[in-house]
Amino acid sequence: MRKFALITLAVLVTSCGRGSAAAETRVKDLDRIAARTALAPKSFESVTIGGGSTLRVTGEVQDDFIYHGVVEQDGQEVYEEIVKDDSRYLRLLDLDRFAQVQALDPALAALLRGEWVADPKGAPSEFSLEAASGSPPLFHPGFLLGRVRFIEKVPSIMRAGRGATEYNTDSVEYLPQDDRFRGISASVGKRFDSLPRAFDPSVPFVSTAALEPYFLYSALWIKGGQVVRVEKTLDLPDGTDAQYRHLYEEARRILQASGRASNTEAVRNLLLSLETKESYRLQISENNIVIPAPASIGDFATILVALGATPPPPQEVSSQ
Amino acid sequence: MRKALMMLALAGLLGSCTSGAEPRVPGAPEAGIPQTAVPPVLGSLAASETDVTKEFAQTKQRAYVTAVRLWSLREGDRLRGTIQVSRFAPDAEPGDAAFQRSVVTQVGKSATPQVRRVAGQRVYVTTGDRQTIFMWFRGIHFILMSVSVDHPYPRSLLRETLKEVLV
Repeated sequence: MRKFALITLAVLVTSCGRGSAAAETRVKDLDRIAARTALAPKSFESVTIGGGSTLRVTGEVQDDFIYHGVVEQDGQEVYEEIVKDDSRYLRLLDLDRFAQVQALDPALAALLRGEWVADPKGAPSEFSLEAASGSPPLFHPGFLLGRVRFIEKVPSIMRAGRGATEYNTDSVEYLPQDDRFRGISASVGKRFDSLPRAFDPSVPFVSTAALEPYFLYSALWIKGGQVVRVEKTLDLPDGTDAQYRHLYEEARRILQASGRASNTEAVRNLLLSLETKESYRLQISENNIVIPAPASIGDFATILVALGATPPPPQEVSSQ
Repeated sequence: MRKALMMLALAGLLGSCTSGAEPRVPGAPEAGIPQTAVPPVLGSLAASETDVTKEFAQTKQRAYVTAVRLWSLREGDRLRGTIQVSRFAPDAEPGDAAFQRSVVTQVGKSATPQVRRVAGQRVYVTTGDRQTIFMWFRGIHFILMSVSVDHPYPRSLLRETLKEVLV
């Protein structure tokens, strides 16, 4: 009996080791594919649902320093942004939303008329995303840049939980209740999932990032040697679950410590605000993408160009 | 500032690449880097070659690099950046991703330089002492451009350099 137990243990240890090595190899392969995808000219659509709002960004990337995006909030286009090398240009699309804003200077006046204006600070710096913490708000240069470079996050997404596994509904490890993306057609591409780790109540609950290893479900799809889609959902447990009760108490403690209301509704709202869904689809372009500079620039930009504070609008540059 | 920019450009490559090839004097006909590799004007900056013969000759390690030329980029008297063009020995493999990583990780302050695609070229980006450093491989050559953080148009300068240098 003892001998049998030892043999069983040996087999388990061996197979576990082999499994984790295979998983790591798989993640490294996915890293390489993601790195290749990140460098390709592409168009993309990013949808983020969380905090009671839906943000949709559609854009094109000519290369890493030339890109364009249109930002929508709850179905309404809010603004458009173009980055060309050292310049950043903005144009408001939802003028009604800002109708009450007083145009205190020529830049704001131009923006409120729906004209393109140049950001006097220029394009976001190469390392601004590394320095930024949390999710940059609308209009922040990191907001669009984060979506343009979303694919660079694939390695950390695939390592947030238990590591990448190839999607296979016939596998003994497949659990339908863990499959958050069942509705997505197999024709999208070959799918890899990363499931959350077992919950560790000793880990302090301070942010969405702290919860991701335990509650983030993510998947990516690969077609033609490129990443074509990524889905992420931070899904907190059901209200009757023991894990939920732990999170509930942690959230209440945080609210109390910050002097905010900590009744049932406030705690639930805080937990709900942490739940996010993010969907990213991209299409690699076979042809050059050429993003034109704004046709005309508003007063403020003209003044800035005249003062030499910002470069003049660049000429069209093809990606070749 | 001038010295810092120059030394960084040289240290990046000479200190890191070792092989059996004997370093040769840059500027000699056999160096294989044309004197016209960098045009006299890049963007709004004037390019002029700086003699690095002595520094190159003093390098004790035998290097994968057989030749180096260095240009300074100036706006009036103000040094805005440098361009270093290096030529590899025939046994180097500049087209190999691992070789490229082994070179670029020796340069700058970031542990791992960012990889970017600009105008169809893979460019590695890192930071130095108050400067942004762009690096890329073109055939048998390695090009390192450092741009002072005071220069307002580093990316436009990079794009111009990609279009004009060793094409």
